[in-house]
Amino acid sequence: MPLLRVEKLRKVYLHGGKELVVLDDIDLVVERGEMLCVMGPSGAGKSTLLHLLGTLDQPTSGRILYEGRDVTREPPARLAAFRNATVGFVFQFHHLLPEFDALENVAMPGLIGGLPRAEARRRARALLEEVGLGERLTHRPSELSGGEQQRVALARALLMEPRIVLADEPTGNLDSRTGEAVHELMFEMNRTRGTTFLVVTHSRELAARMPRVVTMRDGRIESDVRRAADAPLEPRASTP
Amino acid sequence: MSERRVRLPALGGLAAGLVVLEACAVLVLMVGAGRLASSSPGPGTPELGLGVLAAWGALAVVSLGVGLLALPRIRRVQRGTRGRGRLQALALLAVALSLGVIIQGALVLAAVYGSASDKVPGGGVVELLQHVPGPLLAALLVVSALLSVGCLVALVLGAASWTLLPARWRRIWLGGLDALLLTAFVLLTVLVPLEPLGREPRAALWPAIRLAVMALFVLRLSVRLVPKLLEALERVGPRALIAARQLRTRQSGFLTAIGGLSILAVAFSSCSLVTTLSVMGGFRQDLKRKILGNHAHVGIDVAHGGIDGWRAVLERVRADPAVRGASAYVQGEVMLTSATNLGGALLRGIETRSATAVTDLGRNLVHGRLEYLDDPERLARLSPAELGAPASLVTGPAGRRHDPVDADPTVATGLVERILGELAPDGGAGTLGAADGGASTPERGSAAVVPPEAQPADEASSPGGPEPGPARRVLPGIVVGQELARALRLYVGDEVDVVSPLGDLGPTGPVPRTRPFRVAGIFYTGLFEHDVKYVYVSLPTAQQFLQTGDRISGIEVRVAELERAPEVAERLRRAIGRPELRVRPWQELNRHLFGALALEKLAMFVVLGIAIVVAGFCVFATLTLLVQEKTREVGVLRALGARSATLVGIFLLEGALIGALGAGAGLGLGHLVCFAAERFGVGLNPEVYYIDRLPVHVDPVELLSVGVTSALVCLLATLYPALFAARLDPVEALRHR
Ligand SMILES: Nc1ncnc2c1ncn2[C@@H]1O[C@H](COP(=O)(O)OP(=O)(O)OP(=O)(O)O)[C@@H](O)[C@H]1O
Ligand SMILES: [Mg+2]
Repeated sequence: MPLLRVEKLRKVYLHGGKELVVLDDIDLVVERGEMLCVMGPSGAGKSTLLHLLGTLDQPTSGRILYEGRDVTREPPARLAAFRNATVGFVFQFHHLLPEFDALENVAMPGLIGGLPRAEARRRARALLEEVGLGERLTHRPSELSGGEQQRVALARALLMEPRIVLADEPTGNLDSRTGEAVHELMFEMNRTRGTTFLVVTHSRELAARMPRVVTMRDGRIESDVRRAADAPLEPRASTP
Repeated sequence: MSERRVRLPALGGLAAGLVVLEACAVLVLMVGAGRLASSSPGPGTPELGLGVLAAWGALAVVSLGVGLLALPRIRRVQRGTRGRGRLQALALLAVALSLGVIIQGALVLAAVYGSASDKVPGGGVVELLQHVPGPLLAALLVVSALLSVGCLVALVLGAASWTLLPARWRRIWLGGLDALLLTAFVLLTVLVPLEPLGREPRAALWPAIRLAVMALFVLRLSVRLVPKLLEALERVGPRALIAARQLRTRQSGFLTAIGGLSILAVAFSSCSLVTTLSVMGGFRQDLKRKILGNHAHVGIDVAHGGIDGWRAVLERVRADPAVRGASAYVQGEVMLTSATNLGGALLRGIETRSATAVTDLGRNLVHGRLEYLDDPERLARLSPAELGAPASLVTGPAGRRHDPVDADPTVATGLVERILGELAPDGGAGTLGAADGGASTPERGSAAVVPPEAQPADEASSPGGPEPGPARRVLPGIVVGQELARALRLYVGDEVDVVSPLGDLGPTGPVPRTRPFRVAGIFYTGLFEHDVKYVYVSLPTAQQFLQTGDRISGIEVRVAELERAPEVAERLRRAIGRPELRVRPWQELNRHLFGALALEKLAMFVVLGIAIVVAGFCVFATLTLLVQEKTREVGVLRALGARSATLVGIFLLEGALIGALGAGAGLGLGHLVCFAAERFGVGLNPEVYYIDRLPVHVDPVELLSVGVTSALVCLLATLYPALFAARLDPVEALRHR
């Protein structure tokens, strides 16, 4: 059973009395430990798809199955718990909480999910060290650079050890070198933890390194290309 | 750090606000000074002046210190920085002005204490102000007002230069101030009692200072504790963590302002509610004490007619262990006529001996004695001193007063003096009592007394020897209330005619029956109604006069425990076993009065509750803005897996915290105000209120209910914004900029 199966997913907005089809019968299967990126021109519906996959939004029709569990028909309270435990988000504008320092931001999903305070902080510290921010634990987001902020956001997305990380243009706001470092970090996390990554990006460099690239246009999947890219990625991706 | 900008326009606004405040303070001082100079010193008036002076002095000293500190700091600000020169000039001016105020204050204080060493307390101020000519006084006030405005400017400057200090210095200063406050607090707590040391106003000075220091200390402590408290709250759980952190960290300027405003609003409304309710409670308690002091705790009577065989009933009542005293009475409506006036009254015949165990009548007598009721011969042979020579008037009541909280004895004295003054325009004070009581009314007082205007000639013709003689008739005694005595211009030893409407049968029908009595005493209960309405005679006299035979109107019972009066009444009803007798506890006897009081209090609670509701609107606005500002974070929290209940909880908690902070501050302030009013007394005009000090009674249950009410209102005000936050669409929230 794949980690994620999307069947005939449709999203239609009603705008000014007219129906606006943003996602049109999307079918997609993502395996455990896979790493794929979604590309496409602006307005293709990439962010919308990501929000639906993350259960932040409800589709007009179609199903989203996580390990066979249909999350499109579940009550909001269960979905919140599902998001907390199963999905990690990384946004373009990091979206860290400004009142909290790096450590607290990373620990936040743990606290919300009911982890003991000490355990959440321990995990957060370990993750921050892993993303190279062991020296920045008590910095507020405003006291961090853009790249550092995005690394904190990545650490936060990983705290609950989710099955999948959904990232929406995580490096869209960074210069190419800083973005490169964040990309490297994602590959490393995928390698060491086996976490599945679904990354929406406009970056050609990233797409070139990805083992699977999905291209969208006008709410449809235009192409879905798998290739044996850099050797070390493949075997990991296929192990369960 | 040297280029830190000092925002002068903002400072100007602040200074303007303070100047307005200051003008109010000056007005207060002027009014106070006016009162001091014109009238006799009421309780606490000199202290008002001294207090204002002391406050200014303290302000000046603080300003001086701050100004002196600011000067070298400003010097270090880079040359050419905008506003540096002005700042420096102002600081110099401020230092000079503060010095001026301090010197002025010291001079005034020295003058006051120098001249007042052997006079009445506070008399020095009066004397001083009386000797200063009017224009000079006005000029003095204007100058001091100007000086203190300068002081405030210095203070504002000091506050501005505060940010120029490095953080380390600021910490040291704050620590030092805190240590100073702590030592002052500890020293005053150990050395000074909270009770005023004596009756004279100046005795309250040190306790007042202690109270002020205590309040400051508590304030400072809470300011220091609130962040710690929020920090502790953060450990409780994710909701508390986020709520407390959002409150702790600085939001946008407007939100901070409106948040502070809503805390203030809640604080002020709950403070005013507590104070008002406490004062009303004080009036109620005062009334209750006076009513229960002068009326029965349990009343036994019949709906119509009188009670036969009452001695057996009385025996049974007295046998009850909870009964402290019981006394029979006869009651009837009568009219009293004196030489000058007439008034309706309720005549009560009482068992003189047992009556003192049932009511406070004996202790409430300001003139005369209750025993005279049973001893008309002695009443007829009173010495001139007892008849009311002014000397005995001054000392008499003060010695007899049992309760210092009760009305000012000088009221009664002044009153009688005024009456006497009116009676004798020539002011022959020494012989007045005897002349009035003895010489001018040889037989039937009401007929013989001439109007006061015509009296001087009379008096001159009869050189009134004050000999206690058998010049008077032996008449039954009567005790009247002070207000009635004032209306009828009666004094102890005077004769007064009592008219009963249920009179004898004359040739042309019923004729009112008239009988002369002699005033045996004048009582003052502090209840106007009672003092104007009730007159007392002995039981047999009343029975005879009202022609009731051996029957009585009722029995008054005093019980040991007030609140258990209903049980006792029930028990007595069964013990007596006479169904026609009504046995009612005080709650029932005064049902209408206390019912009205409770209703009034409820109305006040509702009216002032509206103030809390307005404060609630403030909280509502704050929370709505907060949710607006935190929309994106709400979206992030949703993405991280927060449930809507968690989000509701976060914002509810923030509203509750604002409410709790406000209510806590308000209750504290209200309690302080009540406490101070209770301990040091706020003078009232006894002519208007019939009570000389503002009565204050703080009911803990009320305090709690005000706190709970304001917290609840804040919580309710938060409910909508919180639910709104929880309903936000996460996707939209994340897009929010
Ligand atoms: N609430 C809405 N109502 C109506 N139309 C919407 C709404 N939200 C999104 N859309 C439309 O859906 C389309 C897809 O938007 P989406 O944000 O998914 O694009 P995208 O592929 O992420 O583009 P970009 O690369 O610029 O981020 C857009 O044309 C947008 O106008
Ligand atoms: Mg997008």
